[in-house]
Amino acid sequence: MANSLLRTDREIAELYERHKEKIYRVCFLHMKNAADTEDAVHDTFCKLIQSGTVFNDSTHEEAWLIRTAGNLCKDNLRHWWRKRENLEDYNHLSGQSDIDHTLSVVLDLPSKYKTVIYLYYYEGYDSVEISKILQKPQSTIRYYLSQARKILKEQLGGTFHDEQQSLGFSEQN
Amino acid sequence: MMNNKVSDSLSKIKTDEPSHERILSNILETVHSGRTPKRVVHRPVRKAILIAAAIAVMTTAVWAVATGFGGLWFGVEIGTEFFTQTDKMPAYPLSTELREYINTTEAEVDEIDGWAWDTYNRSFDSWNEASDFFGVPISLSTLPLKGAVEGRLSDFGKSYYNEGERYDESERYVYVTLDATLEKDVNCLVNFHISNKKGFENGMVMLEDGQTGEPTYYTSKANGIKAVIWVRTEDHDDAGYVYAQFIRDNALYTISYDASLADYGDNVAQGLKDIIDTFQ
Repeated sequence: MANSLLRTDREIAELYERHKEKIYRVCFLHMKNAADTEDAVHDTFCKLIQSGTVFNDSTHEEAWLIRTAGNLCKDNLRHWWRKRENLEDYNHLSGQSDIDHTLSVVLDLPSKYKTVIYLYYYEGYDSVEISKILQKPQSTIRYYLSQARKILKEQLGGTFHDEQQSLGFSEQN
Repeated sequence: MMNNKVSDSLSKIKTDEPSHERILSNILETVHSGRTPKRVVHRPVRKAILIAAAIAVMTTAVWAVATGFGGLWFGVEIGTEFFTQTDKMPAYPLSTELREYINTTEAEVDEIDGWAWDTYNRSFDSWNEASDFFGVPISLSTLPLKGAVEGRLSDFGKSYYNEGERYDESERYVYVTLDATLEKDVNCLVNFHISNKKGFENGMVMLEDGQTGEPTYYTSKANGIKAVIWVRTEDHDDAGYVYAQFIRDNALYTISYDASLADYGDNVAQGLKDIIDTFQ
């Protein structure tokens, strides 16, 4: 991996190409609209480029980006101005025309669960892998999944298939 | 095995090429110029506010014409009333100073390079639960407040990240949220800050390494206070301060309360009591 400060335009474009879909989705889950998502994706990649961090491999790079994207979005959402705005009022401006009920429930999950849910259900990572990516204890990840799934189950009712066993843990969490 | 329902829904998050081209172009522009380019897409919220403002102006103009400009003053009065009740800054003499202070704070926070705060929210169903968690007694009974006051302690943040790397696992932040409804109408701005022993400087929370932290400030509603107190508890033997500012009746109220973070629960509770007492 090249040192980020020395990246050429082509390398930056390749870097962006490698991770754009994943980072966009992570940001959208937090920001809930296309415009803010674009800003967040932009800021995430800029932070990487300016950070000078040297990565061991693409997985390390991806994990860094996912963590940073989530943190940046949370920072943005904690901004005092945004706290006064009810973004739910602007759902029609999300830029996503086909947000179904399931996705809207996922978007309404507490911020800390969203990335975990995305990585688990969409990217197919297991809790051990997610714990490495997000640098959180496995028990925390399992707890997040458990809580998020509880919410999804409540909100989606019978349409949400519970897969407790596939997480490799039981109700002790 | 994945849950198809959730997976399918997540796949509906569109990431179209023009959008990616725009983002990449902005990234390259930022890298080359060192400045963040002007956003191509207006933020939807901002756009909605602009539309609402335009409608309000047009409505007032029509009203003014229809009533021979008599309604214009009325409209201005309504606008003034609206903003003094709901806007973050009442139109008091000190508001400019405080606005600058807040703007400066915001800007400086934005400039913190590589800092992204990770907050884990933790809510407590009861003060007892909160007391157990923090290991110190904290309850509404420690806040002998007049009027109808509801308090809750919530939100627990435990670490922060520097450029994506966990900075210190033992780092802990405590957010004490107070939703208070007072007997009197209060029109005020509330700033709460906690600083460690490095001191309180220009409204910023100074961290040990000289980095600045995000201050927390909330505006009152027409008849209440919404406040969040931000407590840093990395070093439990740190001396700290609960720092609060209010604007009320053209006066700036400042309360600085010593809060030894070793038993911050009691001190924060006392600080809240002092703050609320100001308004009784």
